[in-house]
Amino acid sequence: MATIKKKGIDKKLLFYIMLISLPLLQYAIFYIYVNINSFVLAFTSTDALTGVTTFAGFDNFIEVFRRFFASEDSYQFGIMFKNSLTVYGASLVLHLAFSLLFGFYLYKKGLGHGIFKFILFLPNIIPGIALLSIYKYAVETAVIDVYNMLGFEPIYTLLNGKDTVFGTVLFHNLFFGYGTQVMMYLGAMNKINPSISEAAQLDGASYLREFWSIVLPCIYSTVITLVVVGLTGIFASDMGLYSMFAMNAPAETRTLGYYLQRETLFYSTDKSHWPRIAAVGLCFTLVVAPLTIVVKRFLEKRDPMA
Amino acid sequence: MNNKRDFIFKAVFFSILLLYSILLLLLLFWALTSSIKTNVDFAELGNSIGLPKDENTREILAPWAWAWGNFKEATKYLTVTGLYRNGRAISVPFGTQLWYTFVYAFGCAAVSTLCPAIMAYATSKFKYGFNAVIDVIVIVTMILPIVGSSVSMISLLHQLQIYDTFLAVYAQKFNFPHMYYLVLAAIFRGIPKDYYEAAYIDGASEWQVMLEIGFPLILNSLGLIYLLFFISYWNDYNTLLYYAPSHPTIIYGLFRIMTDPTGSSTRGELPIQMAGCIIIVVPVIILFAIFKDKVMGNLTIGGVKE
Repeated sequence: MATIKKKGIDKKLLFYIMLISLPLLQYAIFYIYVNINSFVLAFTSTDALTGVTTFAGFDNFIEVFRRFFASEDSYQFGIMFKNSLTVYGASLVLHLAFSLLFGFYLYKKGLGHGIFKFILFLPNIIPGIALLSIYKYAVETAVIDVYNMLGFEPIYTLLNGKDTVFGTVLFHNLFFGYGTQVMMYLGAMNKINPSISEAAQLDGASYLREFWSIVLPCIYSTVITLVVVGLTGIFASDMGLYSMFAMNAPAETRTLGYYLQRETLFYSTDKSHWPRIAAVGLCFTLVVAPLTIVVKRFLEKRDPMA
Repeated sequence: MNNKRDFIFKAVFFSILLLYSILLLLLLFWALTSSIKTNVDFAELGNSIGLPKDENTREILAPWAWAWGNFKEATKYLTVTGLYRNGRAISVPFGTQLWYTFVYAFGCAAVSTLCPAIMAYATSKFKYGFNAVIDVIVIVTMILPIVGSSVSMISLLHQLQIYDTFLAVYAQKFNFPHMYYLVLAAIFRGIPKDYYEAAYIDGASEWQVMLEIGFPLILNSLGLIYLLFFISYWNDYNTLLYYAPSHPTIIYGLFRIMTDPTGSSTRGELPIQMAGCIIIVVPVIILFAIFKDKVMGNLTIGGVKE
């Protein structure tokens, strides 16, 4: 009997190992190895002609810092840094506030909630590149024509104008980005015990009071998660610039995420640049990773339901 | 007093959502109407707003006189040129892109769903200490932002000699550390053990229990996750841009055309470009319209709820 049981346990263990081994192998190769390799790459140098790779110490990091802070391009990197923070800040404030309030409106089943839910989610379903192309050409033709018809001082372009291009790209990011967040918040709100809301209403609480004192504390963990997830993209977001302009985004719109993406794709077949690009990525990670953990802990400590 | 405040709250957000919906639908309507105009009508005669007009009389055309041929023309126009495979220049026609789209979206959605499902089944059904390690891997990978490891991935794919193949993207997408692993593990844990025990008594093997009892019981959730992945891969061009650049899907093809520096002036006309966008957008909107309640109703924090 004991032998049979032992045999059974072994079979189960064997089956368990069979199931998890392939996904773990994939993880080891495509996550752990790739990231360790990226780390190692940042400390090497590859000769463009011979292809020979040698240890380079901190040379790549020195080069990255020189480019960022002490070269002719420093001013450009300053703009990228400012743009990255602007995009993150604007997205954080507007998306957080409006997604929460839109979600609450849908949760309270306001007029037209079904159709609004569909429309808010629509940009998440439509391929981003198609939506972006439609937006790009609409603002350059129809929007300008309508604006000029209204009798204002005529404009001829929004995406090629130095003063208007960043705002036009930023508007695209802010306008189309609500769907998923609204649905997440709505999903979290729907999990709130209805008796809590009913009790608040019986006590005469207004919608805003209910939102502030009941709904927000109840879905706080969802809010934290989405804020933290947003933070991880602070240096990774290209603001859709690559989709809109490929390699030629106007200098005044570029973000650090776009810079990294452009460099990676531009030099995707030139190994001699990979170490420097890996060093840039590592520098960004060294800033974002601790920042993410600190912000997460900070927000978690302020959980009103904790 | 509260009723009045609640009314104002609902009226304000109804107005904002209505404005948002009108702007979004206008944008899509603009794309649709632009796609059925001739280039002369749109560009040379400046009809960027409104329905197609006759080029001579400038009267609004009847539907049968609209430029429906743009859609056929768009499939030719979407042919991608200037790509290289094994050192040879290639061009990829629309039909081939469509085939690549199915190969990419169906295949990646399958492996992306299968991997977390296998892992979730293993860790929820078998109680081994290693499960805790797997849970930590998932959480750490989800939280820790790593920026700029793409060059390292490209380097690895070259080493494995699978760069620029579908195998390269399938291998990357067969991963488990994401939200769906947590969701599926929770669902598997909710299945009563009696189902499995009854199968064991009937002499079923572990494989049979998993494939004939475990997976079929959560088929709805697996189907939904597959659908979400399918839509996401249908809309994705970035992965192929990085790791299989000579295998353009229709979205990647659209991206190449839209960002071709010589594109809009020499190869394409805006109405035909918009027709291309419509061709790409329609299938996902139909899919979304059919499954909208399932997709939107089940979204919680990055996952689905049963």
